[in-house]
Amino acid sequence: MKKYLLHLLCVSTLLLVSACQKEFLNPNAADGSQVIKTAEGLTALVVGIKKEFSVGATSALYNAISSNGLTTKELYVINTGNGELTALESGGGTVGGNNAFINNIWASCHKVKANAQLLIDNADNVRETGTNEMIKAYGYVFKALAIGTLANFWEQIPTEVVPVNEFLAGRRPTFKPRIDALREAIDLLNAAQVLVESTAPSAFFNNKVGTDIDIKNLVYALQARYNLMAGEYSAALDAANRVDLSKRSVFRFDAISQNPVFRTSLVNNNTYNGVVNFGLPDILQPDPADGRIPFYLGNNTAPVRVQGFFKNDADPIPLYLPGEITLIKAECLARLDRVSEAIAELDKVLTKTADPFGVTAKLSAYSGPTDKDAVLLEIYRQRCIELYMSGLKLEDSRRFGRPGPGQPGAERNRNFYPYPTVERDNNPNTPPDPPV
Amino acid sequence: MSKFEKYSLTNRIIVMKHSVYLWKRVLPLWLLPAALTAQSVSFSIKGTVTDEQGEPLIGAVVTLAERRVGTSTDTRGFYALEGTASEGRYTLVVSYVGYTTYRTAVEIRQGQPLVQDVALSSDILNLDEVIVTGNSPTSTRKQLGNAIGVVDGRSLERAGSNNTLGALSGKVAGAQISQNSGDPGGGFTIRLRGVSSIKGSSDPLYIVDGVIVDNSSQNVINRSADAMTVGLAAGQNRLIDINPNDIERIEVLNGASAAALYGSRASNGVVQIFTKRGRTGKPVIEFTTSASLSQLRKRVFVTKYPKRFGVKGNDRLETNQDRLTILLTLGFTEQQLINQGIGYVKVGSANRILITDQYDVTRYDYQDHIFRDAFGTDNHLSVRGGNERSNYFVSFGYSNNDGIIPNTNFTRYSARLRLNQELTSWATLSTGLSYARSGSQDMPNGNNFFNPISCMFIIDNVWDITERNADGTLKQVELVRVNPLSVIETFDIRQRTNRIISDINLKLFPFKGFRVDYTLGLDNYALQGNEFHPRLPYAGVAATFFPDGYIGVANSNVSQLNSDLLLSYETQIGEHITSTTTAGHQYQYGRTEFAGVEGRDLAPLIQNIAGASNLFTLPAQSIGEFALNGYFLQQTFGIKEQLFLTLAGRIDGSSYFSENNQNNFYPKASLSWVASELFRNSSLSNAISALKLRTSYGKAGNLTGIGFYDRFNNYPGSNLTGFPALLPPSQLNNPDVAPEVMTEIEGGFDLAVWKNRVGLSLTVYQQQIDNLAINRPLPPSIGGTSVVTNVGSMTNRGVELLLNAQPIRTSQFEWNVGFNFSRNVNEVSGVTGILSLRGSDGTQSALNGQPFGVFFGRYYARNDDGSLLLTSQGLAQPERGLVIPEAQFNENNLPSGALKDRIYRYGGNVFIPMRDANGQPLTTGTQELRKVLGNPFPDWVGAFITSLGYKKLTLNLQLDISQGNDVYNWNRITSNNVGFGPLAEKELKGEVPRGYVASIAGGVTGQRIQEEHVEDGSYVKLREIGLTYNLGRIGRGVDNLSVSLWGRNLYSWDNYQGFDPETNSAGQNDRVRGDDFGNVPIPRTFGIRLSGKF
Repeated sequence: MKKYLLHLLCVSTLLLVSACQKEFLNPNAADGSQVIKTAEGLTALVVGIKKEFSVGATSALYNAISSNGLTTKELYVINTGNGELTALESGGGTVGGNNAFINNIWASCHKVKANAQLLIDNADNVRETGTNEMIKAYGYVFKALAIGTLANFWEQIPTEVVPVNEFLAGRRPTFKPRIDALREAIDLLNAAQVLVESTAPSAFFNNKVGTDIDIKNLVYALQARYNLMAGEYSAALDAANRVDLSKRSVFRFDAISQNPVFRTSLVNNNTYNGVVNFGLPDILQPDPADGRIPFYLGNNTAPVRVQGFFKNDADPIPLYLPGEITLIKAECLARLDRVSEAIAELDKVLTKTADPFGVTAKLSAYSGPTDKDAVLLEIYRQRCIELYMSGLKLEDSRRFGRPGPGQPGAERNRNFYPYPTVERDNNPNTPPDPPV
Repeated sequence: MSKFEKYSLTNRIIVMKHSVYLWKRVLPLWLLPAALTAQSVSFSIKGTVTDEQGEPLIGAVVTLAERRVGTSTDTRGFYALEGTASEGRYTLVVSYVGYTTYRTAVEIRQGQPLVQDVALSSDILNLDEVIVTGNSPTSTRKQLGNAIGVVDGRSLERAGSNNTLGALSGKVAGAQISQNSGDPGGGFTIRLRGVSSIKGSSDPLYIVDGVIVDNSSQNVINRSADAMTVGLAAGQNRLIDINPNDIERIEVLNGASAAALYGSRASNGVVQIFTKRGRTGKPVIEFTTSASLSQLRKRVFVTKYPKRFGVKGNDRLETNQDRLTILLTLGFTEQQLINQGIGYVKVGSANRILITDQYDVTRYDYQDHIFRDAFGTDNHLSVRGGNERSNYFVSFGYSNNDGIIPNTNFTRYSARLRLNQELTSWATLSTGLSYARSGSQDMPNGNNFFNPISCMFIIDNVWDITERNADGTLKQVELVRVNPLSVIETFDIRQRTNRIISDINLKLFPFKGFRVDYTLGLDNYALQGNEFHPRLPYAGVAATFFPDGYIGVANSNVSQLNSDLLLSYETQIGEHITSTTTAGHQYQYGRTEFAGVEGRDLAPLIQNIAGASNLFTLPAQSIGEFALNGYFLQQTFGIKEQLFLTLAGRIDGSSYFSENNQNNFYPKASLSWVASELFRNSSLSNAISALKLRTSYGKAGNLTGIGFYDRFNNYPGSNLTGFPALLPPSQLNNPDVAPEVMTEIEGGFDLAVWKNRVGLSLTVYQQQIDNLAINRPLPPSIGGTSVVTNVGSMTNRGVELLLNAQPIRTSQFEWNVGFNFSRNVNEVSGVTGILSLRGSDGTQSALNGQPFGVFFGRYYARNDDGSLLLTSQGLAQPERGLVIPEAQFNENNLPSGALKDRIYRYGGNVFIPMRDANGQPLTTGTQELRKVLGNPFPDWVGAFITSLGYKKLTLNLQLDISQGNDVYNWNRITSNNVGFGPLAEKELKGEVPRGYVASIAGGVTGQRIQEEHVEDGSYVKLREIGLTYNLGRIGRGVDNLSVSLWGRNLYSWDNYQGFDPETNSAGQNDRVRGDDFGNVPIPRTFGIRLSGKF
C-alpha cells in the first residue's frame, strides 16, 4: 500500500507528473544493437543462427529435407490431410507459391543469410584472436550454406542483404541467377578458408559455440559441394581432396532442441515416411545386400519407417557425409574424363565397411560398364542411396539429367520451386516462376 | 422553467461569488467547505412514488441532492428519508430507470416533517439518466452528442449466463456479442461498431466502478495442444470473474466520439460497469438461487451406413491399412492389390490408388458418449443497508456449472463489499473490494487433435469407443489417434484464478458547483493452470498427442493500476447558460508476467512436473510492463436546458510509444439539441413527447496495436544443446512506429412519441482508423518475415437503430417490446498483398477493399451455369488460372483460354481463370486461384426483446439475430475425410464417384477446395425466455418472493450443418473469427430460479 500512497502524492502534484513517465526495457529479449557489440552477444548469435537453420518445424534443414524428399520421391505422404505436404508429393502445378514448406526454406535461409552478415560485419568488435576470426568464419560459412541451400531449389536468388530501414525507405533486394549465387557462396567459403587455415578457434569460442562443427573441414566440404553444383569440377575435386574424411560436422540436438525430421514428422507416423528401396526406379534399384538399406530404411517393407539420422529427438544430423565427399571426387573425376580414378573413388563408397556415421554399403566393387555415362549413372545411384534424405537429390537429379516432370518415368515432379508468394507480393524484383 | 429552478439559480450565483473569493484568497485551504459551521437539524421526508397510473414504483431512488443522502422505495412505493441538515431549501430528486427524473424544492425546518408524494412520468428515451464520462457522473443523457447503451442489472440477472458479456448479448445496439465456446466458462467476444485494429486488440476498455479491469484471454492450459500449429485456442475471458448478479448497470460507449476522454486505450469503445451500492435504511437481505440443466442442442450428422471401403487389417481395425480408407490406400502397393484381386481405381492427376471393395462394419454415434446432461447452480446473497452517513453493500456468490462434456466444470466464488462513508458534509469516501475465485475443469481445446470433439471428427465411427480391456482400460481406436473417452476419463486439466479488484474513491465538494473526484483502482489476479495427461494404455498413438503422458504448469500474474484525479466545476453564466468544466489526470500502470513449464514421458503415479523425464521445451517466461500518463479537459455549455455543446481533449504519453511519437492528442466535440423543448407547451407535444438531435466527433487511440516492446530489435534468448543462444527475430523492428488513431463522427436522433409509449433512436457513424499498425509482411529475402508499420487504415460505417415501445400499460397488464438493429461495414486499406491471419491452410485474411478477416481461399472450378466443372472421372477440382499484377494486365491481350467474363481483382492483382482445349482448368503454367469465400462478421445483428406482464406473471423473451456471417466448418470436411460425414456416405453408397471426397480434401486434383468449408452462419436464436411468477410477500419474513422458469439458447433457426454457427475455435482471438474445429457447442439450458428479500 505504501507504494500507492507514494503514488497518490505523486499525482497530487498534478502538473509535475511527468516524473511518473517511465521507459521500460524488454526483459524478454536482447536488443539487436547490443547483441553485436560483445563476444558473448556475437557467439550467442552464432548459436542462434545454427538453431534457426536446424531446429524446429520452420527450420531450413527440416523443410529442405522434407520438400526435397517429396519432390524426388524419396518420401511419401501418409495422411493426405496434410495438404501442403500432399501438394509437394503431387508436384507440378499443385506446388504453389504459398506452400508453407518452400516458404519456410526461403524464410529460414534468408534469415540465416542476413544474421550471418551481422557476424561478418561486427566480428571486429571482438579483439580476441581465435574468437574474432571464428565469428567471421561462421558468418561466411552460414551465409554460404544459406545461399547454397536456396540454390538447390530456386533458379534465381536474392543474395544481397538489405537492412530493414532501407527496405522501409523503398529499396528491394535484387535477384541473381543461381550460378552467380553459387559463385558468391564459393567466394564466401574461400574467404573463410583463409581464416580457418590461419587461426584455430579460441577456447572461449569453443566454450560458447561448441565443437560439433569442425569448421575447417566443413569449409572444404561446402567448397566441394558448391563448386560441383557450379560445374567447377577441378576446384570441387581440390576442395574434396582437402577434406579429412575422419572428421564430423553435425547439427546436434537434445530433448528440447529436437531433431526436426524426427520430431516434426517421422515420430507421428501420420505425416510422411520413406519409400521402399529409397523410392528409386527399376533401373536404379539398390542391391538387396546393401548395408545402407537397413541403415536408412529398417526392414524396407511398406510402410517404411525411416531410420538413418532420424530415429530419436537427440540424433545428430550431419552437415555433410564423408561419402558425399568421396562421391564428389568420383563425379568430378568422371566428368573430367578420369574414369578409372572415378571408379576407384566409387569403389571406396561401395565397399565401405567403416564410416564416422556408420553409413556403410559393404558391397563388392563396381563391376559394370566403364564408360563415362555408365559410371556417372552409378555415381548418381550411389548418391541417391548414400545421401538419402540429405536434401541434395533435386540438384543431383537435375545435374545428372534424370527424367524430369512430364517426361516418361519422371524421377522428380518439379525442376525448381515457384518463388514464395510473400516474396513476390512484397518485392517487384521477383522473377517469373519456372513453368515446372 | 419552474419556480424552484429560478430560486436555485440565484442561490447558485451567491455561492459562486463566495467560491471565487475562496479560490483567490485561501487557495491552499480550498478543501474547506463553505458551510462548515452551519447549524444542523434533523429532518424527515416521507411519501409514495408511483407511475402515471398510480401503481407503486419499487426501488425508485429518492435523494436530497445537496446533502447526497438517499433511500429507495419499498414494495408499496413508500420511502422515508431522514437525517440531519442545516435548515434551508434543498432539492428532492426522485429517479427511476425508464422514468423522467423528478426534482422539487423542499424546505427543511426544525421540527417540520415533510410529506412529498411523487408521480413519475415514463421517459422511454431516458434523457435524464446520469451518464458517467471520464469517471465523472456529471452528464445526463440529454447533454450527450453520442449514442450510449445502458443496460439495467436486472436484465442481466435473468439472462441465465454466468458471464457478464454473455448476459449483455443482444441488449446493446452497436455491439456484436458472440459466444466462442460452449464450455461452462467459455469465452465471449464483444465488438463495438466492428473491428478497429489488425494487430492489436479489438476488445473495448472495461471499467468496473472506476477501475480499469483486464479482460484478456490467456492460455495457461492447452499450451502444447496445438496440432494445427496456429497458436489458437478457445479459453476464458477474464470478465468471467465478475458476477453479473452484482451489477447495477452497464454503460456502453460505442466509439471514439463517446470515449475520447479515455484516450489511448479507448478506440474500441468503453464498457463501464457499476456494481450495486448500499442504501440508507434497515438491512435488506436479497437472495437468488437457481438450478439449471444444460444439454447438447443439436447433433451433427453421422452416417449409419454399414459399409466401409478397403480391406480389413484385423478384426478391431487397428492396423495401418484400416486408417483413412476413404482418402487413401495404406499398406498396399498397386502390385499387391492386383495380386490379391482387390478392386481399386486410380483417381485424379496424381493417380491416387483407392480401394473400391467394401466390407461390413457397425457404425456408432460417438455423440452418445461425449456429451451429457449437465447440471448447474447459481446462488447469490446480498445484504445492504446503512444510515444517513454511511451505507454498505455486501454480497456473496457461488455458482457451479457442469459442462456438457463429462468432467468439465466451472465454479466461481465471489464476494464483494462496497462501503460509502460521508466524512463531512463536503467529503465522502467510498471503497469497494471484490474477490473472486474462479476454477474450471477443462478438456483440451479445439484446434488440436485430442480434444474429445476433435477426436470424434478425426476417426471413422466404426470403433466402439466404450470397449475395455480386462483391467478396465479403454481400447485402441484408429491407429495413431486417441480414443475420445481416454481424454474425458483420464485427462486432468484445471485452471484457477484468484482475483481482487479494489477501489478507493474520494469525493470532495468544497463549495457549490465544484467537485473533486479521486479514484485509485487496482486489479490484480493470478491465474494458475495445471494439465496432466497420463500415459495412454494403447500403442501407436502419434507423438504429438503425448502417448507417453504430459504435464504442463503455467501461471500468469496480471496487475493494473489506475489513478484518476478529476476536478469539475459547474456554474451558470448569465440567465440561460450553464457551464461544466472538467479537468483531470490519469496515470495507468500495468504489468503481466507469464511463466510456464511442460514435460512429457511421465514417471508413474506422479502428477507434478517432477514426474516428467522429458522437458521437451524450454521453460517460458514473459514479462510486459507499461505506464501511461493522460491529461484531459472538458467543457460543456448548456443553453436553456436544450442545446448542449461539449469540447474536450486529452493528451497521452506512454511507454508503448517510440521517442518520435511521445505525446498523442485526442480531441472531442459534441452537440446535442433537445428540440422538443421548443414546442414543449404547444399542441405538437401531444404527438411528440421528446426529440433530441445529436452529433459528435472524437478521436481515440489503440496502443495495443503496438506490442509492449515493438520499438526494440528483439533477439529472444534460448539455448542449443547447452550453449546459450540469441535467436534471430522474424519480426524486425521499426523505431518510428506510432499508435493507431481512430477518428469518429456520428449523428442521430432520439424520438419519443405517443405519450412516451414509443421511443426510437437512430445513429449513423463513420470511423476512420489511421496509422493502423500492421505486421507488414517483408519479402523474406530481407531476413525477417514482418515489420510493424503504420501503413494501414480501416473504416467502419454503420447504422444503429433502437426501438422501444410499451403498447399496453394498465394496472393489470403490461407489454413492452424492443428491437435493436446494428449494421457495420468494415473496409481495410493499406495492406500489401494478402495478409494471412491464420496460417495452417486457414483462410482468414486482410486485403484491401474487403472487410477485415474474410475467408480468402481456393474454390471450385465451375461451369457457366454455376454447376461444378468435374474432371473426366467426375471429381471436383479447384479453379486454376493466372495471377498477374494489375500494371501488367492488358484486357485486349488475354492469353487463349482465359475466361474473360470471370476475371476479378484483389490486392493489386488480376485473377484470370483459364481453360484448356478440353474445357478443363488449364494445369500448365497456372496456379490454383483464390477469392473471397465469405465473411465471418455479420452484415447486421439485432435483437427482439419483449416482456408481457399480467398481474403477478411475467413472460420475457429475447431473440438474437445475426445475419450474413459465414463459418469455416472444419468439422464437416474432417468427418467426410475420415468416412462418416454426409459426403462420405454418398461416396460409400456410390452416389458420387470414388475419390470425390479425396478430391475436395486435396492432393488428387489439386490442393484442398477451401470453398467447401464455408457455410452460411446466419441465425436467429431464442436467446432468452423466462416465465416469472411474483408471489409477493410470504408470511412476515420474505418479501417479493418470485419464481422463474427460464431457458437460454433453446432454439436456433439456421442452415448451418455443424453444431452451432455461433462459435469460434480460435476463442477470443481478434483476427481469426468464424473457425469451427472441435469446439464445444453452446448448450441449451433450462433453469428454475427463486429470489426474494428479507
